[in-house]
Amino acid sequence: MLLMLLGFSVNALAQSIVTGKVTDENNEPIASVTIAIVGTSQGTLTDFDGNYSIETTSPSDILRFSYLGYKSQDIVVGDKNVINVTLSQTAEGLDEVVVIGYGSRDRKDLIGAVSTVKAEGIEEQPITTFEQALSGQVSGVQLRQNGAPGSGPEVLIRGIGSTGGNNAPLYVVDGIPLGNVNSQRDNFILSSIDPGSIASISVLKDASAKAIYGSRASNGVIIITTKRGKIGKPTITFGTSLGYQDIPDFEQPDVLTAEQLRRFRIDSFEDRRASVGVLGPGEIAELDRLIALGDLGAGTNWFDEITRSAPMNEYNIGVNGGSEKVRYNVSANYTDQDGTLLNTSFKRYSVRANMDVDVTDNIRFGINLAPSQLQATGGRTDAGGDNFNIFEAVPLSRWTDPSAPLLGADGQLTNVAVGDVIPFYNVNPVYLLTAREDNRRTNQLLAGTYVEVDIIEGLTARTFGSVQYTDRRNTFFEPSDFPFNGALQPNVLGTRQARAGIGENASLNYTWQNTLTYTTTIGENHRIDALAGFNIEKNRFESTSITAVNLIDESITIPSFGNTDPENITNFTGGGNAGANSLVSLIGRVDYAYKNKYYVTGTIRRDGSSRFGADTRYGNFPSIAGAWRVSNEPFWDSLKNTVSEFKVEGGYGISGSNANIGNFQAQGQINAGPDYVFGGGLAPGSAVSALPNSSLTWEEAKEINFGVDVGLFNNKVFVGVDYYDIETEGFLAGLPLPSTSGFGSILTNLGSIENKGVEVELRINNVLGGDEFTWDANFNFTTNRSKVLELAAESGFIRTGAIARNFTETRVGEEVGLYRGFNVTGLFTQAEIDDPNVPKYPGAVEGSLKFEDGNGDGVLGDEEDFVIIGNPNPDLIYGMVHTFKYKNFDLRAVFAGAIGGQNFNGTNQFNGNQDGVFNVDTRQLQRWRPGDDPNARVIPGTASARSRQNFRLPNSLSVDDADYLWVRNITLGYSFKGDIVGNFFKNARVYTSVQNPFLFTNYDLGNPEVNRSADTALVRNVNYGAFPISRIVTLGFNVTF
Amino acid sequence: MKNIAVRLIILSTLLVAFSGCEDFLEENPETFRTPQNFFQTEAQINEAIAGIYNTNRGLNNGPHWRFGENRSDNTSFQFNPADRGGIDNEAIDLFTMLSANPNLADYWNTSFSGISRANFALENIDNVPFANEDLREIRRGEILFLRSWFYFNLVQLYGDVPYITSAGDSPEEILSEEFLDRVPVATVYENILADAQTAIDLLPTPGNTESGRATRGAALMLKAKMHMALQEFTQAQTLLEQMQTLGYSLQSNYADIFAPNNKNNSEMVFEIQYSFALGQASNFVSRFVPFNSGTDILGTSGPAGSRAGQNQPTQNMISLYDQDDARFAHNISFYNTGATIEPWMSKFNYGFADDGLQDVNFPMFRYADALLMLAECYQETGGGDPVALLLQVRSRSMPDPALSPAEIADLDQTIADERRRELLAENHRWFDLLRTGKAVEVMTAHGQEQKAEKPTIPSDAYTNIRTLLGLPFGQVQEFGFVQNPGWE
Repeated sequence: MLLMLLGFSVNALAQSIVTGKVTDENNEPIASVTIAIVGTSQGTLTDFDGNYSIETTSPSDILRFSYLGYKSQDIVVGDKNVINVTLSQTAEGLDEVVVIGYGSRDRKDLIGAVSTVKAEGIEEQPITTFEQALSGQVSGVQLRQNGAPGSGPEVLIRGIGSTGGNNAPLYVVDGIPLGNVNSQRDNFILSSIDPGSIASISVLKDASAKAIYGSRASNGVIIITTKRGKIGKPTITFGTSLGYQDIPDFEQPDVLTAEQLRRFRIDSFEDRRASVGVLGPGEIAELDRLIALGDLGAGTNWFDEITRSAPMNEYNIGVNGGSEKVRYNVSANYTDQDGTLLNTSFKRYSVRANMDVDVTDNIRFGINLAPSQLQATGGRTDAGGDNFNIFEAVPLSRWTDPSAPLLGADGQLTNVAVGDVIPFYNVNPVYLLTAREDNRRTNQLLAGTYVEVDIIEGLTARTFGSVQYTDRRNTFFEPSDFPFNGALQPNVLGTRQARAGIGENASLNYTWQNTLTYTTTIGENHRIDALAGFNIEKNRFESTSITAVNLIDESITIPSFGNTDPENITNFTGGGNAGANSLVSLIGRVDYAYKNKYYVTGTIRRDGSSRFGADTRYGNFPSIAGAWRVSNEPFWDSLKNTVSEFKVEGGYGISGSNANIGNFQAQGQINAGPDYVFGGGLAPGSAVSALPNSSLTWEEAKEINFGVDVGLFNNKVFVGVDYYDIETEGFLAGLPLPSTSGFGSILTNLGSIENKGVEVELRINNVLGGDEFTWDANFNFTTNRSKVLELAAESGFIRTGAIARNFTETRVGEEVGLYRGFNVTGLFTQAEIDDPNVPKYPGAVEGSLKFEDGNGDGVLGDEEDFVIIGNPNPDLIYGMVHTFKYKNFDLRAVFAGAIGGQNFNGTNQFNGNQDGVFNVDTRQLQRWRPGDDPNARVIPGTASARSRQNFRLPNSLSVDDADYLWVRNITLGYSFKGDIVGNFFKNARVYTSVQNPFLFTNYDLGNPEVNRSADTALVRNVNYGAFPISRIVTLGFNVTF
Repeated sequence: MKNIAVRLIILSTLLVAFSGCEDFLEENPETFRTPQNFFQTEAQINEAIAGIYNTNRGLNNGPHWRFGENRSDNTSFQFNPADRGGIDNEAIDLFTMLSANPNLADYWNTSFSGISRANFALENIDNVPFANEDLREIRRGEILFLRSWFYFNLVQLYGDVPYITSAGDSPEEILSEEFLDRVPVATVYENILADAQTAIDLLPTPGNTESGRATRGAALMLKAKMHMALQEFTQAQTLLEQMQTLGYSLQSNYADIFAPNNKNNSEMVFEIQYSFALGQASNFVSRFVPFNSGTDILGTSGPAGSRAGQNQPTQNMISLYDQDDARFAHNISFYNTGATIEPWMSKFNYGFADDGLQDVNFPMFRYADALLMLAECYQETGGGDPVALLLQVRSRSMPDPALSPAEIADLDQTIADERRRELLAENHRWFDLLRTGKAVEVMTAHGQEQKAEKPTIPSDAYTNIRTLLGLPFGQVQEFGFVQNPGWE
């Protein structure tokens, strides 16, 4: 192909010279604007002062002035010798330049579903990770976030394509692939990137756009481009914002006060007496004790005690500029965010520097350097993944006895929160957060360098090398009076239980990417862009961990062997780990455009991954797409005034995912650990803990995409509609195995899932058409429906998620991750209890929980009567961005919402426990009591032990609709213009921004975007008590010198 | 300069492209082994075998006492009105289990995990060089002993079970009849009797192998138990008599049998090994103390968990002992909560080496059990004198070991009672009830006693006494195993 391309040569016939100057709306010259003669490969750039000069061949030549972030302009040369141009900044629309994989395209020439988020607005939002800026901005993207400082949201593009744990998109920053990063807490890879340094974010959604990223692209690709140097005098920018975070009222858990809880317990005994006639002696003693306590008042509000309002500060400084030969951009960011839970915090120190150098006319090189340090504190805040994970601060605050005092008689914080009303107790939630040290420090360096050579006209070779080095150190310490983790009745005395640990993880990820690009125009009508490349990538990690318990001197909080009692060898333990994975890829792409009317693009990527067995190591990921810009046809001319742009497109492609397979998972694993004792000595033991599967291969997403782009009224209105149908084949997941094999499952290419959906983006520029007051509106809507097409599982379903029983089911023919449990049909009436034909369980009495006899056997049992009771997948997700400008004021509001999804109330396992051992939620105040009409109540009575157990098992009363509309952000700014600042600044601006100002929802258990760190593809939207979301108000200013 | 740069790029690209992507893509784990590079040396086979013993230890430290002892009339549990979260465990004792009860899956999964480990070891043992060929056969005997023991428990508890002798190396192999179809009890016995016999033939006599490993004596006793379960007392008798020639003897003092400073003594036929010093401490006492004993018993390792109080001796059990029986004093202690006196299982309470950690072994098979089994065989076959054996066991612990006329008159009952007294908390009672066919009768009576003694027993308890357990609900649903009658 190369030879073929080299065969072309371009003969330019000089006729006249056009010169001019390009400026922006403020009359500032713009350097490096591309001026091209449309239909040829000829072009030039503006210089430092915005001046250019170009040879044209005919008066009919059209000059196209384009510059990233500005509207392109086409001007016919005619008889003019001087053409001065003023470029205006792009309102989002068809004129923008869109960054795609290994290149960029004008929006109007782009084929495929690519959404973009511009820099404008990102840096003024009080967010610490850039993914948060996607909320409400683009179609097809679902986000779920909580309020942990520095944490990123869960990002899901076009549905769940895999039942494995990782459905995260591939993140690429300035050409450096960071992987399918899906850690939501301490998202240290992504949170090292200062959102303010970002120039644009592209979200690649359909196969023709993402297939170029091959085996890691099936969950979408998010490309981040950071700001680069521009020709011009140095501009220095300085910005700062001061913020204040507090927790909205709806995050406050509705649990009982001390007196309400005491009454609840007393009434429970009375109700039991009313139901069974007598109480046992122990119960009578307990009842008498509770009565004797007297009125306890409100007691301690544990949620209030563990939470706080917290400050958030950010400082940015940057220098940007360059000569025609050397351009540079350097920015530094310091972010300091305290969390709204005690002792939690996030700090970022980051620098990003880049330089582009034109060595000769034909050779360029550049370098990017982005070192950062992150520091985070505070742990054990959210419920994790265990069956009964109630010992972390947030769930703990929901069930700890409100009669327990915060401080002991000595005025000091108690280590254990023991109250008078309920028998269960655990670590004082405040003590949990404050006495326990949990520090995480991450140093990361992202570095890349490239050399580009223009070999002949239009043909450019580029080689790019990058390094991502991450060094992470986590330490924790628990003092000796810290109650043992997870024990219901913890070690109050706690002698010699002080614990300390260190985890060190280092990883080095390097890539080397080589590409050839060729752009040419044949005749007037044929444009070809071609790309060929070869990439290699290797990631190596090494980790060490040390844990010491029973510290002798607990003032030393770093574990050391000398500080532990050597008699018990398990007091000091440690280990190391290391591993690597590598990827080799060939890429190719050809774009062909005819007369700016017909477009075809084809891509191919061939990836080889070390993660797969030798037989299945390579995968091919092709795509093809075409578009017809109907509005450029002659017959459209009459319509042009109304429908200024009309493009239809379609594409098909295959992309893959290897995110759900560990580095060596295809090889199986021997677990060294089941040791034994022979002859009084150690007998090391081993066992096969995971079976090998040499035929493991890529998940493949086969995707069809159809789209229509419509521009109305001179592109004042833009409508983009995409329909997609993605079939993920051979997704990687555990194939359940009968436990008679000794194994629960084996990682297999298990089956296929289909995601179908429609995405609509609607943009209206300057809705009212005024000059002084402008309003840009931007809407997006997405519907997605998943369906499991095939499962290799013997049974045709996978059940997982544990709230005493598996409470989710993924079954062939159904949506992914449906909730299962008892379908509650009301409460038993006495007549039903007396009627032998009504199915019931032993011990049921009037007011007990009544549910559907799921298996129809005439008796109510346990899991065998479970049916499907809910669906976490929303029917519609939508977002809006409105931007208003009036004179020097601007106002921007971002909305994000969802309709049709449901959440599972995991807190019901403890806050709905009617045994009187936990604090309970206020629904219990409305429970059935003797004398009530069972048909008038929802929450069952407390007399029957089986009813109480059934109520806390998964059931339909724990499934809640979670429709919502968040007002995600409102930013109001004022830009100083003209003489006021002219003498001192180029630019100055003050703004105030509110994150999460309003929420509209019927969901009454807090943030409806519940986000539990342990959620997986199949176990989603479980509200178990997560880090509360915060409302953040900031005041900031930016100045440019 | 341009040309140099171009050449460099092209050259280096080609270099990498052709210098072997395969090597670049070859990554292997550095910190663990894989099934492909394991099972290749004698040491690795030994590791795999230690892994089977480890599973057996786990089985006995939980599932096996829940179903072998706690389910029987020997023990119950201390009702904690303040923590009803252990309701699934209580259902075992109360005979109110449904097939979704996680304990059913726990026993099943743990046992089959041990079987799987055994099958992997067996499949590979002949493929590696052994320095000493005799040792290879001894190791094979150990594997067969453990595997047939797992099956013996399963077949008694669940009835028909899949009988698997292949290591499931691949999903195709695992999703086959061998792993999914239950085979008749008789077929399982036929196979495991043969395996137990092979183990007898291969294993060395006690003292000729490391402590903790299976011996010929252990295999003889296992096979005898199988025969007795099949009511084949003559065959069992022969095996048990062989055991008497192997040098086993009773300890003179009952409390010494289980003492940490007297591990692997002459009475131990198969002892499950723990070692505090090696980081493999035991902890079962913590679960047997009264839940409300605070730190009184457990000391600094406490306080007792709210779901302790398991394996609590029943009144029926307590009254079976003479007050001056040394076993009574050792096995059962009483704790005064202030409101009540709670009996608890103190048999393995030898104090703590560190917080919550003990150094106590667990007696899976011991010689006193073998003597009482032999007494039962003699009683059934008339091939010997059961009374002498009873006296041999009783005389160690009772000031007056002689049998009363009533006891002589009903020796079946006397032997069964003696087994309860001697072997309390050693997880034999439920299997004894199955063997003697008395499970329903005894447990029905036990249920009536329990209901009379405790107001907390629900009305549906002990009303559906099934001698077979149900198969785990999830496994039945997912893989279509045929469920046992009454558990559908």
